Amino acid sequence: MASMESSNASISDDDTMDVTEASVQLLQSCAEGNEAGVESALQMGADVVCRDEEGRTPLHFAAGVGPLPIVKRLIEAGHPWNVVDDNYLCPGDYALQHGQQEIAEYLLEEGVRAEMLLGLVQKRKPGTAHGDVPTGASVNQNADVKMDTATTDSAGAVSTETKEQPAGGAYLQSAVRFAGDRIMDASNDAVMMEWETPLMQAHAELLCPTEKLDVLNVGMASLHCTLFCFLWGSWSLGFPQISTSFDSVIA
Amino acid sequence: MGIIDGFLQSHKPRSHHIIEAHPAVYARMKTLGWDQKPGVFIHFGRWQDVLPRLRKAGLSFDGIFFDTFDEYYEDMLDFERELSWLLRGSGVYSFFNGMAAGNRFFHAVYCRIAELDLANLGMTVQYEPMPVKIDPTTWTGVKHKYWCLDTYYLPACRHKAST
Repeated sequence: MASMESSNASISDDDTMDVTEASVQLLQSCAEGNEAGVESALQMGADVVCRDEEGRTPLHFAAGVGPLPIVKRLIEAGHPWNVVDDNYLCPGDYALQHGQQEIAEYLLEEGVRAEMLLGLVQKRKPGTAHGDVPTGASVNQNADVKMDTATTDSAGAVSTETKEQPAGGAYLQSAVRFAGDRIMDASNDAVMMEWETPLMQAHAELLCPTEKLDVLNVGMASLHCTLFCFLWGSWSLGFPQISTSFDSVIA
Repeated sequence: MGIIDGFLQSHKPRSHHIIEAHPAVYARMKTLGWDQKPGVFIHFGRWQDVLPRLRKAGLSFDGIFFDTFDEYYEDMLDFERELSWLLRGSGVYSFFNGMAAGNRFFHAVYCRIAELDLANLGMTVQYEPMPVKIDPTTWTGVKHKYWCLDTYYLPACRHKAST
């Protein structure tokens, strides 16, 4: 493919432009908001999810620059809504950063549509996409969310788990260790952190506007929370107190 | 069991039910005397297995919290399908909103999906924004920075008929 990369002699001749050149034109046209340029690049066979040196795709540029028809055209051509660049930003992030409200709304609706459609055919765990995401793939990148399971790889493979697999199975069996005020599971992921405490306090206030209510907490695999509490001290009977700040809340 | 249980206790509930699936955690809860606390009921098992028992006992609740950690979105949705009987008419349901928290745009997409799915179940959702302050050094040595949001959207879900 070296000849492709070095080829530049025939750049003005549409018939002989190769995929690489068409892709470069696509990126450039998106960066310029040039609808005609986008259309001709696609006609010439440009790779719709080609990337620049920072991992940005045509949709990253189109989302930041506009106009909306280019964004729609790229989606129509098969560009996934949720590809992230080297900085972990998706096209919707670019739209928001550049004040493209209409485009951000469109991409959000496209994301909702694609994810809900996907939800009909497979389980997905909302996560953070990275690297290449096949068309129609979910943001669901299991390996990328808080834990690694035996069934996923660090490359962020799209979920292929089936209904038969018990949810949280790997986590329920994983070892947990302490690291200061952080709790890590065996794969060194953060599972519970101090900053979540005020959030939990707010949840409790929401659920208990008054006293004498009947409440239910469903902790699927809340080992992380519990160990966090063990570490921090006790809202429990006769457990040695470690943290005054936490205990005062529940005294 | 989690941090929230200590906070729930501080609001002096009449009854406080906890569904706990992890054997080590369950054992530890008993060691700590949680099962002896007045009004506290610990149900050992996965919620999928425990809920039928609660239903058979005719239980329903004013406040319900669901922590999605380590579960799929569809699991949470399965749980929410049970709210029609589990959550009282004027009750409030909330979940730990860490959906796709590694990217704020993905998070926004999932907040919207949750809103649509709950609407289909006859419920409304209000997201109350809360600032999240995370010390940057928090992430030192952490493999996945799983949270990049500076705002937490606290979900308050209610039956439509009650709003």
